[in-house]
Amino acid sequence: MEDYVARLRQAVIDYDMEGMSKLAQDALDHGLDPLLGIEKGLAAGIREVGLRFGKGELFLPELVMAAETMRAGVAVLEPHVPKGARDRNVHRVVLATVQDDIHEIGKNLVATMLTASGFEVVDMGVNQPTDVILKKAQDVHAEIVGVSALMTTSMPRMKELIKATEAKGLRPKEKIIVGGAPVTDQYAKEIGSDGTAGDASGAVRLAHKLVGETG
Amino acid sequence: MSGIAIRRPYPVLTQDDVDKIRAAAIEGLERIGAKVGTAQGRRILKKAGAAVDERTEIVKFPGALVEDVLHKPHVRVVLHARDPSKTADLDLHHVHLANDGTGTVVVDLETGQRRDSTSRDLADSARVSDALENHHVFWPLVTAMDFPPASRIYEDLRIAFENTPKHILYASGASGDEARRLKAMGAAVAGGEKELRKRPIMSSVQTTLAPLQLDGGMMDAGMVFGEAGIPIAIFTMPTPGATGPATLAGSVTVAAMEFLAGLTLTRLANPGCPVIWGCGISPLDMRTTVRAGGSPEHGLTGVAVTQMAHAFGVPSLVGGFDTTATMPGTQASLEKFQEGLSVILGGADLIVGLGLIEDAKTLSLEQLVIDDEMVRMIRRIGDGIVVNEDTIALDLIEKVGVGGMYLGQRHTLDHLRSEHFMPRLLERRSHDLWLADGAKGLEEKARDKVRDILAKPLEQPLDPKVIQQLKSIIAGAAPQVAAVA
Repeated sequence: MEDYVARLRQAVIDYDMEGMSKLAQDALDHGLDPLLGIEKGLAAGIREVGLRFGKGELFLPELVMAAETMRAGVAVLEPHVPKGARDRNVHRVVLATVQDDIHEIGKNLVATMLTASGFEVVDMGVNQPTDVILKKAQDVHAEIVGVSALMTTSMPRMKELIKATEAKGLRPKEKIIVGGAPVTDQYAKEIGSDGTAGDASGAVRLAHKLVGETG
Repeated sequence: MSGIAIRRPYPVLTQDDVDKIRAAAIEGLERIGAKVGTAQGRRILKKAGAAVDERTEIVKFPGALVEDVLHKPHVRVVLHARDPSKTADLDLHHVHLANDGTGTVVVDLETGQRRDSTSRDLADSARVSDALENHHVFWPLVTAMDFPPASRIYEDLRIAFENTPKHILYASGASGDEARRLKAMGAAVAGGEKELRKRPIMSSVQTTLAPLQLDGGMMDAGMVFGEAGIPIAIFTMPTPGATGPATLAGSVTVAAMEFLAGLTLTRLANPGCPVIWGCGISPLDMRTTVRAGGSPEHGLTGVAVTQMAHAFGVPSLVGGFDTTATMPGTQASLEKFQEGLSVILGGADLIVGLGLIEDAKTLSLEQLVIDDEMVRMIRRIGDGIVVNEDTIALDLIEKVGVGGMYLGQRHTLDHLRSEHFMPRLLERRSHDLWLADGAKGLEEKARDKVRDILAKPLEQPLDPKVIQQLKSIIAGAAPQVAAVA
């Protein structure tokens, strides 16, 4: 069994997207505990890749391929995790581009990087009204909500979201982070958010900090 | 060590331009000639049919004599290294990078203050150069001012041999006697004169005096090196507007005349001697009277000279990373980058200038590291765009489809490292991450890298017995040295 755990980990490190599903299935067939496979195998692999990315040894496409390899493995293993043990210790993040804005490249990069760093990301896409975002965050028990805007005209939607969250008494427990090209540190503070970052690596660092981990 | 291949070298002269300058230079040597300061050289040239005036030392070269030299089989220039894997083969198809010499000032790495250069600075600069990604030939950057003036030229070579296993390009043989002693030092390191001839691990720069003068001592030294099989670079440097015509074509013609005069003499004296055309044409700045080493004309003429050199069948050695700025920083980098861009894309065989500022007077170790990053960027441009089915990737474009993402595709992974320049020093993080990481500027990051390199032990040290031999050779020069000092 140890062997399969190590092989799952290695497959993530080698970005073996093509071979992952079969390997995960073989592991199950040989009686591997799926939760062990996910946490000590796949997740350990992605942590290793993330570490090397952080050091500058690996680049974004490698991180993304490793994350997708991991996802292929999780898709096979997770349905076999016994009900009680189901609630793995993961931090959930809801991401969305605010209403009246359809730009999402930066948000997608943040989603990719957060996923690759071990977060579970629920990406709602673009043009999302405040109440829809809030409902989704509650439904999935998100610890962090990240909203993005590229246009100065749609930026006020971020403040609207924070006000609405406060009105429901969900703050400060629910963390709200904001991003997008026109967003500055000062603006993020002014509207009472939990922070912003200038790039996707910075967003990961911020997210780790907000959930009480060192990134 | 292979140099940098340039996919499509960028020319500045047409074939017609090259032919015109070639014809003018040959006609000029016949009509005007050049002053040849070496008596031995004049004897050789006279015997070959040149018209020699012993009173003025002016030699007029018959066109047929120069043409004959140019039509002889070309001599391949291979700059062998103590470590054979670091040999630079100047095959006329690859760009190589070297430092420049010989400075007397250092911007101190720790204090930022300017001070006289020492043997320690020379040793450090050799070690930092050796660690760079695109560095091929070491030219001792500074002189060891902590030694007496007359022994410095020997001590500098010893320190260079001790601290780098790369080929050493040296610019201090100013007389036959000096050349013989420097050659003996090279032989000690190479394992004897025969070995040195087979694998010359050093080469020598012999400068001419513009306009149209071959210095006697320099050419005597050149003949000693040539006889020993040591490659020589005949280094011409007319200053447009002062020691050459203000027009660049005119100054390139003066440089070509000086080079062809030197080449003719060298080929007649030692037919097998590998010869490089060294050239640095920078205008005189007419406001300050300074030679503008970091000028756009310097890089432009470097490419023209490279084209002319290749037409003559010899490799070029040109300035490429010069700057007049007296401190590292924005001006230094601007001047170095534009000039380096010209000569690297122009396919120059050996480009000098890494690490020095203030027109080759002052060493900055951090600038040396920054220069390497510039070369890495320019190298990417020189590598061009490869167009084929795999790189066009229409199948992939179909697979990813409309609105898709290429990040997780194996094609992205496979091509990333060859297609995209990845900075080592340039800052590409967002402001917040940069701030959180100490807000270090480019120079500060370069200093960190220098410290990392110098913290490592010296690789491939020289055999202590050889070092002892070098010291004995230098000591042998002592009476002479003392007399001059």
